[in-house]
Order: sequence, then C-alpha cells, then structure tokens
Amino acid sequence: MSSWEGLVYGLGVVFTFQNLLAAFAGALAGTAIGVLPGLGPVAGIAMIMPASYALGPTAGLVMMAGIYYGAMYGGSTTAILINMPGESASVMTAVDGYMLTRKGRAGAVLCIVAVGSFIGGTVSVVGVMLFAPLLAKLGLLFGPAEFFALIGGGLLMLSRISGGTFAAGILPMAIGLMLSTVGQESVTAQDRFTFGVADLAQGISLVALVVGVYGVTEIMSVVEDLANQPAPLKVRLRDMLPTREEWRRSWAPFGRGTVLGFIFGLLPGPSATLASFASYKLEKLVSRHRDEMGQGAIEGVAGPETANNAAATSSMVPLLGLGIPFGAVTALMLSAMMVHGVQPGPLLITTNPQIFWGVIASMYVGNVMLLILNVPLIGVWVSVLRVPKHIFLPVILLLATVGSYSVNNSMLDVYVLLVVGVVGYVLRKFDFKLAPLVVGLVLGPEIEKHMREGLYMSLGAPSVFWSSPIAIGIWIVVLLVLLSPLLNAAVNRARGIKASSSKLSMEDQ
Amino acid sequence: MKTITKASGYQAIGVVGVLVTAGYMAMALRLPLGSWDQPGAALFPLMVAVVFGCASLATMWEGWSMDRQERVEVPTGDGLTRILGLLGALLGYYLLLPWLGQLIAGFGFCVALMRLLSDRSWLRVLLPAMAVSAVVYLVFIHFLKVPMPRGIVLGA
Repeated sequence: MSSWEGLVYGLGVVFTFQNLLAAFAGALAGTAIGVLPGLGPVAGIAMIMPASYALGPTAGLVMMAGIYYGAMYGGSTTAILINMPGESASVMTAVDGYMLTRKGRAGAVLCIVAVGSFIGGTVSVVGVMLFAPLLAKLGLLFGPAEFFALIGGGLLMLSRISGGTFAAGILPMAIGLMLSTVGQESVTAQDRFTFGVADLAQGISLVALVVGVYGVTEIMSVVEDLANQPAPLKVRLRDMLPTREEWRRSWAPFGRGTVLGFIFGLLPGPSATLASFASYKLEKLVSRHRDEMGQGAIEGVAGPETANNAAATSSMVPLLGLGIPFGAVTALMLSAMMVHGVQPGPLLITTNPQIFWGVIASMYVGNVMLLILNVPLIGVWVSVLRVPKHIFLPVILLLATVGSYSVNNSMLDVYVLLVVGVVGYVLRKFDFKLAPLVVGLVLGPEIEKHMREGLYMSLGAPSVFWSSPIAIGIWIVVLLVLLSPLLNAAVNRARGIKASSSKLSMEDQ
Repeated sequence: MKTITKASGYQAIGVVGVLVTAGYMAMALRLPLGSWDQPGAALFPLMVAVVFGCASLATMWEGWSMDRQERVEVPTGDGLTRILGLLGALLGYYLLLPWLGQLIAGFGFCVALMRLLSDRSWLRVLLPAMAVSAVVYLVFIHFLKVPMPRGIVLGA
C-alpha cells in the first residue's frame, strides 16, 4: 500500500461515527486541558486513558492524538491572554503574545495562532504519512541488539536533550527505570521489589505516575502561588480578525515553523518545546521585524506556535514507524496500544493498518476540527479561564483520583499518585526534568526485553550489542550527543587559547 | 518568600539518591542473577542500580560545583499553609475513601479544599462542593460504571 492509498484507507477508517466522535472529543478536551492551568497534555491524556480503553484501540489512539494537538493549541491561549503558558511549548508564545494582548490585539493573535497551528499540524501530517512507512521498513532490519541500542540510547539522549544540567535529566530517567523494575518480571514471573504487597506485582501504574508527576505537581505549584494568578482580558469576536499587515508578516514564520517543527518532532526530547524555542530564535535571526521581537511582534507568536504543533504531529513518526516513544505523550500512547493487545513496532503497518493509517488520517480531520472549533469558541475558552480556582482545582483532583483508581481498581495507585506528586514537586522546584522519568518507566521493560533476547540469541556474548553496523551507528550518535557539552567546551577553550595567543603575539609585535 | 541555594538542594537529593541506590542494590542482589546466556531477574535491576548510583553521584557533584548565587524559592506563610492543607486534604480523602466511599469522601475533600483556596465561609462552600462531588459521582460511578469504593453508607 502506497502512502496515498494508505491515507485513503485511513480516511475510510476515521469517517465512522465512533472515530469522528473520538477525534472531536479529543480536540475539544485537549483544548480545555491546555487552557486550564494545572493540567497539561500529558496529565490530561493519562487521566482520559482509562476511558479510552472502552473505545477500542483505533478510537482510543485517535482521541489521545486529538488531546495532544488540542492541548498544544489550548496552552497558547493562556500564554497570550494572561501571560501564563498552559504547557511548556507555549513559553515563547507568551513573550510576544502577551505584549500584543496589552496592545489590544489578543483576538487577532489567537486567530493567527489557530491558523498557524492548523498549517503546522496539517503539513506535518504529510511528512508523517511519507516518513513513518519508510521508518517501519527500516525497522524490519532491526534485531534485539539494534532495538536495545535505539531504545536505551534514545532514552539517554532524551535525558540529555531535555534541558538543564546533566543530572537534571539523568536522575529522573534513572528513577523511571528503577520504578519500571517493580512488579512481576515477565520471563520467570519473579516478584521484584514488591515488599509482599500483592497489588505491587502489577508494577507501578503509569497513569497514577503521570497524573501525579504532571497533574498533582502542577496543582501544588498553582496552589502555592494562588495570589499571583492574573485574570484574563475580554476578547470580542469582532476583534478576532487580524489586519492585512499581520497576515502578511505571518506567512513566512508559518512556513519556517512548519519545517523546523517537523524536524524537531523526529528527535528524542521534548520536541514541541524545543521546536518553539528554536523557531523563536530563528525568527529573531531572520525576521525583517526582529527589532520588535519581545515587544509584541506577530512573528514571535506565528513561528513558535506553528512549530510546536508541527513537532507534536511529527513526534508520531518514531512511535508509529518503530514503536518507540521519544516523549511522555507518545510513551502514554505506546502504553495504551499495549493495553489493547496491539504490538507496536515496524510490523504495526502490516498487522494493524487500521490503527497506523487511521491515526494518521485522524490528524488531518482533527486539525480541521480544531480550526473550526477554536476560532468561534475563543470566548468560551476565555470564560473557562474565569472559573474560580477553588472550583476547578478540586474537580481536577477528583478526576485525577478516579482516573488513577480505575486502571487497576487499586487504592495503591491512589497512594502512588500522592507520593509521586510530592516527589515531582520537589524535583521540579530544583529544575529537574520530568519527561525522562515517564519515558524511563515505559521503556524500562522494553530495554530489559531486548537486552535479554540479545543475550539469549548470542549465547551470552555481550558484544552482540555493538557488533552490527546499525547498532554501532546508533551508539556513535548517542555518544556524540552525550559528549557534545564536553566537546563544545573543549572547542571553546581551544578558540579562547588561540585568540589570546594571537592577541599576545600582536602585542609583542 | 524564603529561598535556599540550589546547590544544597542538589546535594540533599544526591545523598537521598545514594541511600536509595544502596537499598535497591541490596534487594536486587537477593534476586536470581542467572548466567550471561540465561540472564536472571537480577541482571537488569543491577544495571539500573549502577545508572541510578552514577546519576545520584552526578547530582551531588553538580551541587558541590554549582554557583552558590543560584537560589530556589521555598513556600512560606500562606503559600506553605495552602500546600500543607492541600496535602492534608488529599491524604484525608485517600485514607477515608475505602471507608466512606467516593461520594462522601469526595464531598468532604471538596469542602476542605474549597474552604482552603477561597475566603468563603464553610456554609458557602457546601453547595458548590455538593454539586461538584455529585456530578463526578454521577458521571463516573453511575453512568461510566467506574468501580470506585462505595463505602459503608452506600454498600460495598
């Protein structure tokens, strides 16, 4: 099946009542999740995950993808209106977006964001459609050693690229890996680190961990700083239309943001966030109005917002093509596939084409829905922001509790939610990155599985993990990424020595 | 707002990490190790222990080498009261949930949290708390059949 035939097949899958409803509900819920402080896409998807189990794998994944890109858009609304990014990918949007709001252009900016998100998301889907099958074909060449290198190395790279210091990424990753070893081991059914607690044999619940780390932690931060929560400004529908000048200045950032975002989405790490930062930097470098950046330039909103939606979409390529999640959201989607008994990996395209092409086609449909929903509904989202915190925070915590409990019907998961929330709050205070923790928990069992398979098949020769050209290539890339700060420092030092010695020689002359 | 140095936080987290590594490794060593061609349940946890130990040491080292000017705000006064109140309300809710059930424990939690986060009187938070807990109960337990604990009042 070619990519275009696949797309037509996928559209046939999506255009059923259940899947269309799932895409609509996902886009709507995602936008609300992005708008509300205290909930980001990761916690939102985790809370809805148990409900998605009742829908079936295709509708469940379509809904989760809808939440993801819906939240990307919703997060920018709070960034623009109250200078409070709903999630990290909207941090750069707040800089110029809020300044434009203060100049009375909030409605127009929100319209530009909606169109930019649509363009970024839709064009990126074309890339997903073309690249994911190619990657799946490449993945068929992979054995346990290559998968071990890709998943283990990818996790190490994620922890390094997530931002902050070396320890800020690697420690949460190690915590995630450690938690993944709790429970009954899959090969010999040996209980590990369960302390005799029967409920722990199932392992640490991903939903409880994610909702705790992203939801409870965020709510604790909101509660701590409750007095400093600004109120949103009123946005009228007639203020929604951007001027001709604003449109003219936005087209080039839309294009640059789309390309940049798509590339970032293919890499390990918080791709949407990194893409929006990179796009802002790029606009600052190349825009004709770069002197206005930071004081209310439309380019500073159009570029990053397009980029983060494009990256959110293209991050599906490694998930659908290889079954490897490079971020917290895609890790949750991988976990949902496994719960439904769907084996992710390069064979997904042949064993479950309805999921592979259905999810891709749903992104086209979802992006159109998002555009139709968000421009006229902007007033509704602003009024959602006006709901008092003392009402919506208890609602979110009740939902978090019900969502965590419902996965295994276990009070243990509810206690995990609380403990992880507190640990996450402390780690976040000190700028530790939390995505590697979640991805570590999901990928830990995969790494162990491929490691053990590799050792069995090679009759106990550890060299199997660095003997094939693909595995060697992956490890070299991982090493380069891990050592890049040291290499950079060495190059800078060498340049510094060279510059100071040439200065000295000039002084001597 | 009170602040502490980021360096001291890193050192403390690193020390806790080293202690956890020691305990985790001791437990991992009690699991069957197997052989290279037949690896047992201990092999992967031991590898993870090494990674976790290195990460903890790296955290401590970064703490020692970090600029002492970098500071982190810690909650004090009303902020601290609200956070402790939130944690207390959550803990109470979770401990009472199996006994009182979702409807009553959830209602109590909403009342406590709404009172904590607003300047409304106990009486004025009763109605929204009742509405919120009832809607969550009806949607999730009644319609979506999520098997939350029903408690001693509504039956197990």
